[in-house]
Amino acid sequence: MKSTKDLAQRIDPGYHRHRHPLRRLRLLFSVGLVAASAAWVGLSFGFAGEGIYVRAGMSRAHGPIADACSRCHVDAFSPTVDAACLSCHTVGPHVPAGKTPPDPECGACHAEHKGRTLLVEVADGHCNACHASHRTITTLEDHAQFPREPRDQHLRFNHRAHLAEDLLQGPLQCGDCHRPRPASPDFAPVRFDTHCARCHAERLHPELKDAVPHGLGLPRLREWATAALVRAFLENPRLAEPRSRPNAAPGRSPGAPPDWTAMLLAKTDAALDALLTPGRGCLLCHDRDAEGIVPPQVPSNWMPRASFDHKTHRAQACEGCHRAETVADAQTVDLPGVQSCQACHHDGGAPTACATCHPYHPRDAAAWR
Amino acid sequence: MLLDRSHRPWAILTALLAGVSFLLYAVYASRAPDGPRGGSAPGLAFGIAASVCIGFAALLGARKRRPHYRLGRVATWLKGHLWLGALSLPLVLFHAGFRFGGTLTSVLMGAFLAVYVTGVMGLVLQQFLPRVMTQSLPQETVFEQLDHVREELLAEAEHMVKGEGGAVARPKSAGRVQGRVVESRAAAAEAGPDRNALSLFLERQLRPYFAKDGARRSRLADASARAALFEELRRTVDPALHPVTRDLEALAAQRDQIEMQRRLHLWLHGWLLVHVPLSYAMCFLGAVHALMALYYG
Repeated sequence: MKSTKDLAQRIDPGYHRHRHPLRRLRLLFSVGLVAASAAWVGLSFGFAGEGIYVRAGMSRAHGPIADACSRCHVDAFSPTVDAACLSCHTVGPHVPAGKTPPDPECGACHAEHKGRTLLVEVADGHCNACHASHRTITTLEDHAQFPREPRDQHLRFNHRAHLAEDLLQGPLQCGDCHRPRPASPDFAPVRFDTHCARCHAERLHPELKDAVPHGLGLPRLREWATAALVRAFLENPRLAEPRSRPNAAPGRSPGAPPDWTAMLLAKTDAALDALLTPGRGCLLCHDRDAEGIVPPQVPSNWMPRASFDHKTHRAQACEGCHRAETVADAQTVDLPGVQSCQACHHDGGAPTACATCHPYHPRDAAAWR
Repeated sequence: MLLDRSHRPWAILTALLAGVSFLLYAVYASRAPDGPRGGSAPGLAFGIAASVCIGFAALLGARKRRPHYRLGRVATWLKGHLWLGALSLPLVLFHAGFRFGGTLTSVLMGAFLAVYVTGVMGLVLQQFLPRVMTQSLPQETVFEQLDHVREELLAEAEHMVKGEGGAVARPKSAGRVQGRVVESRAAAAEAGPDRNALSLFLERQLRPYFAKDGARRSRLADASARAALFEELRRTVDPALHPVTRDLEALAAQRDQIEMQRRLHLWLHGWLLVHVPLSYAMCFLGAVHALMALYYG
């Protein structure tokens, strides 16, 4: 039988002076792995720059400057500042001056380093952070109907009549009048001279070749009419003669010479009266009040709180959204309802984010420098 | 056993903190328009909390090297290492928004997960292996002494074969008593039965088996083969030597235990060969990550 002493004698009393072999290996591995990590970080920085520190790829637009970190990260140990963004981009303020909260920093909404994303696509949460009342709008299906109250534009235009097949000059197409405006999401304004005059040019006298200029006020129109008549009479005195001259019977001396001034004024008044007869001449389309022709009030942007770019929707037929062929008066606003948008803008379809239609930055200031 | 009832408060606290962190993360993630980001204020808070947990866990090694410092019991530090280390996983994931990010952060996350997994493995091994060792290794000895003990066992076997007794089996004569110390003295060799068969067995079977890597190749490493070999030996030697053969068989069994202890010890502590170096690398890369994140704002 072995005694405790017998067993104890097997042990080297100085065993604790020997280092545990596993500990030696552990130390070796630790030093080696830390050194390898340091070498990897250093070599990566040397060969590939700051690439290994980047969380994810740059957005598509910033791809060309992906290697130029200092373009945006101007100061070390400081967040990126708007000045770096504004050195290339010109945008106007969203929050009017003096109102709170002030505009957030660019990066608060346009999050970079998220892969090949589009920086202009801003998540709705950024809008709802301030516009709390819109938090209930989680999809475009929740969007309120667009305001489409009838409004008097002081312009009587019958879309249905102009799109009719039996139009005298042939049927018109939408694009004959509504032409895109270069570098703008809006259409160019419809102009009388360009779009209407071909059919609706007015003359003071059937034999006068000059058409009545459009856009003059009544006083200037009167001046123009007088001058035009004088010019016409000088060129063709026959036009100035009264239709019946009682003292001009053959063989008899004519009576007193006509009062040319009175006659000119009378002809001018008659011509203007003809132009301003309700339902004819100017008043075929325009309204008149005590001061003269009421200027038309056709808004250039029918959705002041949103932005609609017809050019991006050019693949869509006009009739897909508008029902112009059914609108016979100018008071009815032929603005499509939100359902028209929802047909394409839904989950899995066209974008539905707030910023798709409601641009954060004022349109006129959001220009690429 | 590593985990016992004394860990219950730590476990409850960790579960509570993890639950609260999850709720905070859920609220934060649902309200973050661009999704959770490590650079946001909540993301940064999660990152700092995770760093504190990892930093504390990493200090366990330093605490063990300075056992005489009055900084709390090492056992308490070990509990903190386990539970704060466990808490660091959800915090790191909440900080990262469950994404790996760029190259550096991906490597860092990989190192962290490797450290975490090896830590859990180590916890499981340390939880169960000591019990296995206690049950199956009644003559367990200090790991650093295994080779020394193996050589001692071989020396004892040589003594037995030569009939010189040995540190274990040799009969004690009356020694000189000085206080409590007993000085043993080896008995003189006696003439007896023929030991050639024993010597032959020692050279052919025992010596190779007791060599440093001999356990892998020897038939004695297998218990049933070992029993058969010694039974055969007993048939060839003088019956007077049967007690010696039984002692030799016991020594061979101890040699088997040494090998088993070596294997179990490697399982018990080998995971640290991955866990500790990766922890250092992770701390280094984490520091680089924090520094560069701050540098680029």
